[in-house]
Amino acid sequence: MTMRELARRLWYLCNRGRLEREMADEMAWHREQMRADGRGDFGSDLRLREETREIWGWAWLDRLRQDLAYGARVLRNSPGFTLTAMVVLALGIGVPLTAFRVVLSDLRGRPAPDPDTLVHLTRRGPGVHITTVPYPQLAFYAAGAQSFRSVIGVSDRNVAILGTAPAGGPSEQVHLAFATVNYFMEFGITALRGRRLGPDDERPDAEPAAMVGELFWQRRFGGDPAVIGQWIRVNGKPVRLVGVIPVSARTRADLWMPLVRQPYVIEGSALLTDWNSALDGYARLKPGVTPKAAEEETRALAAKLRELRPHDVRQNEYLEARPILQFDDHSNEFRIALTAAGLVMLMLVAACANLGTLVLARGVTREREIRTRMALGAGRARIVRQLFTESLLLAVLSGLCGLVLSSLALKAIQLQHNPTGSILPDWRVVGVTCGVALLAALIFGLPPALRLTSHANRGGRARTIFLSAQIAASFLLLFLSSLFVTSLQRFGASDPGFDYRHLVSIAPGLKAHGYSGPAAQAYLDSLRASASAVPGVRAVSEAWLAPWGNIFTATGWEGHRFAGNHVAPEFLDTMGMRLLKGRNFRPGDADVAIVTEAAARVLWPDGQALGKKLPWDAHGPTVIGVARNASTTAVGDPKPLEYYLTQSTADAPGSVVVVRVTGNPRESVRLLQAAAISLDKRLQPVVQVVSDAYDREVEDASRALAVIAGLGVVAILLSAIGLAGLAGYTVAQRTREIGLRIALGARGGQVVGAILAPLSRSMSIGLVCGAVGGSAAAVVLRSGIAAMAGLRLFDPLAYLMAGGFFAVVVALAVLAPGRRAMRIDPSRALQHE
Amino acid sequence: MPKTELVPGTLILLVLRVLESGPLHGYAIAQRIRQLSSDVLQVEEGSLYPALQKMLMKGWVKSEWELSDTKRRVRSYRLTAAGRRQLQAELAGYDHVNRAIQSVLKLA
Repeated sequence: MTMRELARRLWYLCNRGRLEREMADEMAWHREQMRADGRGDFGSDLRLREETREIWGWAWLDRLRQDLAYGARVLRNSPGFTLTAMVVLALGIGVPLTAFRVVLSDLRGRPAPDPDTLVHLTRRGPGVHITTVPYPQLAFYAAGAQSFRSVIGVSDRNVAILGTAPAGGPSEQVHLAFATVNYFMEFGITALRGRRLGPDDERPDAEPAAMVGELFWQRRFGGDPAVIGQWIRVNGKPVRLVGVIPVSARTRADLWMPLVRQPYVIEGSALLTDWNSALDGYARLKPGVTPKAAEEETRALAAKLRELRPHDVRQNEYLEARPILQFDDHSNEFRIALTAAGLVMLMLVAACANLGTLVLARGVTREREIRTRMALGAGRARIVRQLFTESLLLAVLSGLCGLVLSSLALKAIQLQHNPTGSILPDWRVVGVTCGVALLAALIFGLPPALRLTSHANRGGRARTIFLSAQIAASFLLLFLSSLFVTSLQRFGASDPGFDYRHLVSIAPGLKAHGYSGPAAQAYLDSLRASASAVPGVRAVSEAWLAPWGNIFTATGWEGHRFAGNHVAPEFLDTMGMRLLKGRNFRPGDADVAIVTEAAARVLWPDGQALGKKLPWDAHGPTVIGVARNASTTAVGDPKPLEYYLTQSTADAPGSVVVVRVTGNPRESVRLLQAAAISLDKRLQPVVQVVSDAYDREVEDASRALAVIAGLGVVAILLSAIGLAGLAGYTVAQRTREIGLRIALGARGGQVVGAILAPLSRSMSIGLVCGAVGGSAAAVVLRSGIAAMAGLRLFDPLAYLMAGGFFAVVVALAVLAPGRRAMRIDPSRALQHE
Repeated sequence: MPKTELVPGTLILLVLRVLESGPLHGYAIAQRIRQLSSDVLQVEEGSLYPALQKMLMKGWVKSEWELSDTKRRVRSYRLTAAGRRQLQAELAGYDHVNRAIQSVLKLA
């Protein structure tokens, strides 16, 4: 079609009214002429005009308009159905849409340019899996590897005290991140205001510069552009703010500085020279270099480095290079994300299946209308198209409601976290809404339309599938939430095995400030002494890792993971742990270990743990004691596999102090913090109430439970609506049969049974699928939520709760139609129709 | 003589050819074809008007309104330059096919 022809067509579209009248005029004249000449008749000019319109090419638009008008009329004439369907579908679309938008707002920020050649580096090798790389190693690879165009190091978990110079203003603790400046370039992070950190900022003689995170800029500086160029004080050191870094998943810290400035801000830090420092490593591959090739090159380089630093590089070590967008599809996070997405999509499936059942059931009563229209000459395609248009209209309307619903939900979520965020849907969200609505219409609208217009014998297969899917989806969510409830109850009742309600941990951060072993030990000794003097303190101990401190080391042995810690002799007493067998550590002990009861049972099933060596280290420590189970690394593990070794001076720079108090530990936090700072003014000690971790975990689990229970309730509501509708239609459709049954002496129960019988197969399929799916989802979620760790899959209580609730819902759903059926008057019913 | 249906596809050729000698209105086009073919070719109204619309759409003819002898507004169709080119093309195509058919009829 040429452009001019298209233009002509469009012109016809715009002037259709006039052109139609002209056509009618012309044909009327033709007719008069024919009559004058005494020649036959013209035929129907209505049909002729229609054929002519086809030539103009806009006939489909007319039909669409007709279908829409007809669909709208049908929907308007059955407000009960329309309202139900819209509620169902708006929820079904709104829930996944909200999840999608939450994820989207998490992924805010521009994607990194050319992500295929941007790789994340982790240290791998036989028995080695370390997700961070020390700075000296990164520098070595940056200098030696031909595969990398640039090597990036990021350290984004630092805390610092921010004060604004010179007048001050309140100082506060902020999250400070350091990165090699190529990080910003390679990840495509640009400055929102001011300028981006660049290579000049890494020069030793450059003035110390920092970028401020967008959210922090708004919170602390009120979004004032004038702060750019100002001097601030970070840990008392003057630093110039040069720009604002836009918020994104990769820029969560409050302040960003070049990595080389780390020792300047964190006094005494040895990050840049320490072979045990931990940085997130990334690299940009040179054009044409595959990640595999880069890994091979690092293998050779690592072997060379091992000759120089045999203690810092492992045998056969190499750097794994994984493109940043590539998911580690074996990782827990990935499986949990997938499961969560599946659960959310289940809502859509439930809603569609539900609506499909309703549309099918309704179709039975519309059968006469459809047969009449087909008898009058409407083709099957035409009727399917008309029915589908009706479904599409419904889906789009519901989609819009879902969009509004998700915006409201998002607003509610954001009020808690980030009140400045916008909830206006962008084009991606609108696009996804339309796509989902179309998909929904295809699922719930097309099969009934095809089924209703086919002449084949109407088997109930579509209905069975729809009903089973809907029951499976809602029972799955219901079952999962009831598993959650029972495991959460058990979690609340479980005993972590130590006095977690009265503990405070102090992490002075000595290592970051370059303390040597003996110096750190001296500091810890003084801290212990001054902490003991704080009122309310009952016991003090050193430990390498704080309880529930989110960091732990583990040793794998025969498929089990044993978490280890290095502790002082006072540890058990301070923690409130009890020894079951053997003895406690004594000062001066070396090469001895204490294990938990659960660990002893796994390692030595015969019960003879004392005097044995830990099996993974033949020359290692000997077990001198067995402690009652205490889960000090992960919250809520009912069978904690843990072992404790003695502490040495070498551990001191990384160690923490654990304090047990009487009464509320929160009241001691400030005094303990002051005690830690008074010993060295440069430090930013992190003082934490141990039970916070527990409360956080319970809160996380409760939130997950609330979401899943919410989904479950909505899904079960959908099911109830669907079942009620279906039962109602069944009764309406089978009035004669039921009347006959009553006339023949059937009792109420038998009548209701007759209504439920055709539904029972779908229900049992759905229940089984739901239970199996729910268990599978629970297994995955268990690995990610600590409070779910004690979850039992074959929990009779959970099955009973879910099943009972479901039975009640089904009973309520068929109550009204059932009563109507039982009240059917046989004599009238038999004259029905 | 019984009515003979037009060979499909030739209607547009005939209409173009008839309009070559001057603008005509719809009824006159049908009349002219009938007369020139000595009543052999009958143009159905049902195909004439869609065909005219198609030609308008393609830009081969232009329509204008004028007054008839009985003071009625009638629409007459006039060949455009593009229409003349189309006529030549269709004539050539028709000639080509016609010769082919003739040779089959003679030689078979």
